[in-house]
This record gives sequence, structure tokens and C-alpha cells, in this order.
Amino acid sequence: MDKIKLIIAREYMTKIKSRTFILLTILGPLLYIGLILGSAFLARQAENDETTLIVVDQTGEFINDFKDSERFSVQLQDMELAEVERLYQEEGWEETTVFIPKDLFETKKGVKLYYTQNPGLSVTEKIKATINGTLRDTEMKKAGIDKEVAESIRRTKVEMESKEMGEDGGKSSNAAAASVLAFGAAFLLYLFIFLYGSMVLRGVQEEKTSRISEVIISSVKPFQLMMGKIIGNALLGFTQFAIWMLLIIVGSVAVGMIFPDALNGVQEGMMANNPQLQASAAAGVDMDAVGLIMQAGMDFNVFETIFFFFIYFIGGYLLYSSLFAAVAAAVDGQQDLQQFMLPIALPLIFSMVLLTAVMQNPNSPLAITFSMFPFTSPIVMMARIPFGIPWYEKLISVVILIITFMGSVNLSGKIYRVGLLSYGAKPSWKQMFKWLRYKG
Amino acid sequence: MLRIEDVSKSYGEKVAIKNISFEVPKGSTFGLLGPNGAGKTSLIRIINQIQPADKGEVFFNNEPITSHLVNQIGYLPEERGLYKKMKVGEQVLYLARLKGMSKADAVVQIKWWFERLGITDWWTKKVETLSKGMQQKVQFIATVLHKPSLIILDEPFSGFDPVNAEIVKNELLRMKEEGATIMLSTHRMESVEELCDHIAMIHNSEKVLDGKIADVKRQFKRNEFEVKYRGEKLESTPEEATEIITENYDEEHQAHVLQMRLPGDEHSNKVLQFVMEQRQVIGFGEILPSVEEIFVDIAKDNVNLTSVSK
Repeated sequence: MDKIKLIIAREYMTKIKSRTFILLTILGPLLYIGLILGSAFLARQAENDETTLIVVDQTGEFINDFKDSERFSVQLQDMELAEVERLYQEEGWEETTVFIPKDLFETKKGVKLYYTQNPGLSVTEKIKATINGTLRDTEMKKAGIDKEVAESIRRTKVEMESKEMGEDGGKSSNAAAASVLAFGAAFLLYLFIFLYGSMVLRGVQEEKTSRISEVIISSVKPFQLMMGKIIGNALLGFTQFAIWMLLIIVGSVAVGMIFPDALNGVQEGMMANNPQLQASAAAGVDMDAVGLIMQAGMDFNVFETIFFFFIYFIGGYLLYSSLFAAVAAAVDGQQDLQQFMLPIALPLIFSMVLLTAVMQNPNSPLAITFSMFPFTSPIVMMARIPFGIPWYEKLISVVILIITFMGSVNLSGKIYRVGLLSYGAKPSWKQMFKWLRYKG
Repeated sequence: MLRIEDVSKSYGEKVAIKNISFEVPKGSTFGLLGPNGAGKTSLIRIINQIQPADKGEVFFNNEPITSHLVNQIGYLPEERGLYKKMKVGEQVLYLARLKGMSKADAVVQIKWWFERLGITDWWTKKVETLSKGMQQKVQFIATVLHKPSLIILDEPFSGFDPVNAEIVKNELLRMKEEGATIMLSTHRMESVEELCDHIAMIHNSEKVLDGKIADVKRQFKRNEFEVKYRGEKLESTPEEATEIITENYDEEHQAHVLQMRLPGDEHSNKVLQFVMEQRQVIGFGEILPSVEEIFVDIAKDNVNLTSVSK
């Protein structure tokens, strides 16, 4: 046991002192915060970039409704539709034009927006809302409904609290926060398994190519060396995770204090996009998560999610890093390694592809199946947990994962042991299966 | 010191070593000989508990070997290397601690060795900045730092430059005098003669021969003699000789050299007498086979045997 501690310590200490680790650890969050500031800055920049909106209102009813705003300055003009199109086609107009036809109140059709540069979602939405507002008011007046009365009726709203029922009597759920948390956790898990799994891979490869492995395994068992490596890198991962979280929280608070609007800008920008994009825009997600989680408070599955994050990180990391270690030990050159890596990494990538579908329907047969399948379960289950799922599903999934990683650590150990000592020709999958049967 | 009893190992279909038994006496310098691919490295890995034997057992000081006892072995594999990014001192310290040394002990020993080999300023150097020859020194120190009672070197002189090979040889001899047992494997048989006193030969996964070099040579000598004489070349050769091996002229000694084989029961004095009566003899002696010649002989027989049995 002492020897495995030495291996863990070496793995941890040499890497934590390495320039790459220090740079990545410090630069990571800086980049992250820079990204947020940058995107906020760009979002505002885009808004400040004022558009001239030409309103061609043939009804004459909207003249007072379009007002200069942050997004555009309004210019009223009177012309025919054909003339508008001609201006664009022949005179090279670059303005944005909204055309409101004479018969709009009868047909509710025919409003057209012309542009050469897409004015963006917020501008088009605003134009639509303006026209709709006037249209509705006019319709109401025609129908003899008082505007004030209508307004107060429209403001009537029912408060609905969604409660998910379970054996513990139900708990409040917050679907939006759950999605954000689900995506954040799953993505982070993916990142960590990949990042630290490939660190194990590179470490093993280094030992093999530098020909030191045999020196080491004359002192320790190959399995100890492999496990020492895996554990050392996991600890490194935890350290980096902790530092990142700390820096990100401190940094975000600092950014929030210096530029109070910056984060709002990001959040607004995010919301304007569709939910899928919102989910996949990794950069913004955590920030939203922080905000939303704070809102959601204690009644939300945060602690459970964190708990399972660690469980699935350990399980998934052990599973994948042991396979990576085996492959790295078996194969000699960089190129051959890529070839063997792909089939192993495929389920991991596949689970990221599944993520959107899983989050849209966390209890679909697809989601349930892949949250049980051990090669995808860490990430897929992470995306389901924040939505609240029955305890037995988590139990089954974790048990399957544990059994699988014990198996994979065992098998990988065997391939690792033989592979580490064989140089030269690239082994085939068949040969590696043969290695499993060598006496050990 | 080390006893190997009926050890076999195969990888799938491929037999690496088959029923090998021999003993490495305490305090000896033992040469494990055989061509590339004979199974030397497999056997050494079994001794070091890097891989298990399929059959048979290895005894270290009359105890079945365990990973704990392996700590008393210093092993320099044929495929040897160092962590490139680590500092020399840290690296040797790490390897020593893996062998079970305490940190304090290891540091004292490393300093002693670094001073001895004149590399005290290397401690904080990164391995990747060292030349190959320098790295070999470091590897050697890491092998013997924990004062192993058995030092096993797999093909030690392949890859060592002559200067380092000399240093290593001298250090090995010194450690031997201090009581260490040394075992080295090589396919270069000639390098064994000056260093080893015991050998075992492996050919096609099987041990074909082992014992004290002197005994082996005696066993394989073929009653061959060499006589050196001055003057004109003899007109006839001694009638006792069944075979004349060579007749040369040695420029250095300005003498003719006659090598011949005698029948087993023939006394060599008769040959000497024959030459002495006619010429001035300046040298006479028995020709002992070199280890390499013995090996070639055996290998040839072995090949014949296997081809016959087929």
C-alpha cells in the first residue's frame, strides 16, 4: 500500500507543479470570465449598433406607435410596395423597412420586413409586438370592448406551483433550473472524464515510450502502478475542480460588482435564443445555473446532484481511464493510439449527442435505457437527476456502473500488464483479448 | 543465492521458456547466455516477479521468492528509461523509495553515489537535458542504490558507451567484493569471459548448459594444442595429431603457429618433443574453447537434434 501512495504522490506532485497545469488552472477561469465579459460586450455592441427603421404605413394608423428606441431610429415614408422593392433592387438600399399594407385591418396579412442585414431577433420581435398591439386595440374598439377593462382582464393570471410527487410527499420543481443544472453537470462530467482520462492515457504512454515501465514494475505490481496513476490523476482533477470553482465564483462576483449589467446582458442574450441553443451554449450555462440555483434555493435537487456528480465522476472516470490506460499500454505509437482510442471514446461522445433529447424528456425509454448502460450512464444519468427520478433507477444505474468498472479495471489491468512489456508491432484487438487469458 | 526450479512460461501458443533449472551461487558473477529471443528476458522477468511462471518456482536464499524479497534485487532491464520531465535527484529518490528505502536513507545514498560518479551537480537537472550516456549512469545508480544483494542486468552492455561500460564494470566488481551476487544476461558471449565465473546457456527456450565457466570449458575442451616455434616452417606435422587446425605465421612473435587436435588418450609431450627436436619452441599450450564456440557447438547439435526428431 505504501508503494501505491508513492505512485499517487509522484503522479500528483509532478503534475501539479508542471507549467501546463498551473497555466490551465489559472487561465481556465480567466478565459471563462473573459468569455462572459466578451460576449456581454459583444451583445451590447450589437445593440448599440443602431438601425434605421423605415416605416411605410399605408393605413396611417401606426404613425405614432413606432418610436425611436435603443434598437432603432424611426423614419416614416409613404410609398407603394413596388417602389420599396425597386429601391432595394435598383438603388441599393441598405435600410431596414417595415411595410404595412392598406388592408391590414381587414386581412391581418401583408406586413413585410425588408432588410439587407438581419436586424436580429429582438428588433423583429419588437416590430411585431408594436403592430400587434395597435391591431388588437383597434379590434377591441370595433368590438366595443373598453381598453381598460380588457387590460385588467388580460392581466388576470393564475399562480401555478409545479410539484413532483414522490414518496417523500412531493417537492417543488423548477424545470428551467433543472435543465440548466442537468446540462451543466453532464457537460462538466464529460469534460472531466475526458480531460483526466486522457491524462492517464498520456501518462501511461509516457512511461511506455520512455521505457521506464519495466523499471517501475520490478518494484511494484503493474496493477498498483495503473491504479496509482488513475487515483493520482483523479485527485488532480478534484484539485483543479476545486480551484476552478473557487476562482469562478470569486471572479463572477467580482465581475458582477464591477459590471453589474454584464451578466444580465448574457442572460438576456441566452434567453432570446431557443432552448436548445441555450442548453448547448456551454459558456453561459454555469452562470445561469448559479443564478437560477440561488433562486430555486434549498428545495431543489442541488445537493443530490452534487452527490451523484461525484459518484458518476468516480465511476465513469474509473471505467474510461482504465480502458484508456490499457490501450495506451498496449499500443506503441501516437498514431496507432488514435485508432484504438476512437471506439472507446465513442459512447462518451454519443452520450453528449443524446443530451438534448434526454433533457427534453428525462423519462423517455431512450433516456432510461442509456442512463442504465454503463458507458453512457454517467453523463445521461447526470442529465436526468436534476429533474428528479425514482431512487431505484439511480440505484440500478450505479450498481451496473460499479460492476462494469470493476470488470474493466480488472480486464484493463491484465492488458496493461502484458502491453506495457511488449514493444514493436501494433497488437490487434484479437491479440489483446488473448492477453486477457495470460496467467497473472 | 538464487535457485530456479523447473520454470516454464508460455505466451499463448508461444513457448518462452521450458523446464529451466539452475542455481546462481552466492557471490558469483553469473552470465545468462543465449541468442536474442532465447527466453532470457522472460526468465529474468519471472525472477523479478514482473510476470508469473506457468510452472516451477524461484527460490531466493532458499525461500520462495515474494515481492518483498524482490526488494533485495537490483534490476536493470534491457528496455530502460527515465521520466524525461523529472529532475534527476527526485527521480532516483522515487525509484529508491519504490524499492522500500526510507527517504533519509535514500538521500544519503544518492549523494554518495553522485559524488562517486562525479555528478553532484545533476540533482536539479531535468532528465531530458542529459545525454544518453549520462542517463545510463543515472539508471545504473537507481539500480544499485538500495544495496541489493543480487544485481540483475539484462543486456547491460548493449547501449552503454565504452566509458560508462568500464565504470559499470568496475563498480560491479567492487560490489561483488563487498558480497553482492551479480547476474547478467547477454547475447554477446565474448563479453562474459572476463566478467563471469558461472554461466547458464539458454537456447530455444531450454537450458542447454550451466556451471562454473572453468568446469564448462574443461568439459568441452577437445584436446587441442598450440605450439609456437621459430625458424623454417616444419616440413611435416606430428603424426600423433589427428587434425591440423591451422598453420600460421605470427608476425609479432616472428614465429610459426601450429594448432592441432590430438586423440583423447595421447600425451601432448610427444608433440612438443617432435617440434623441439627440430625447431626453437617459444610457446606451447592447450587451446580451451571460448564460450561462444561452446555455444555454437551446442546450438548446432541442438538444431540437428530437432531436425532429426522431425
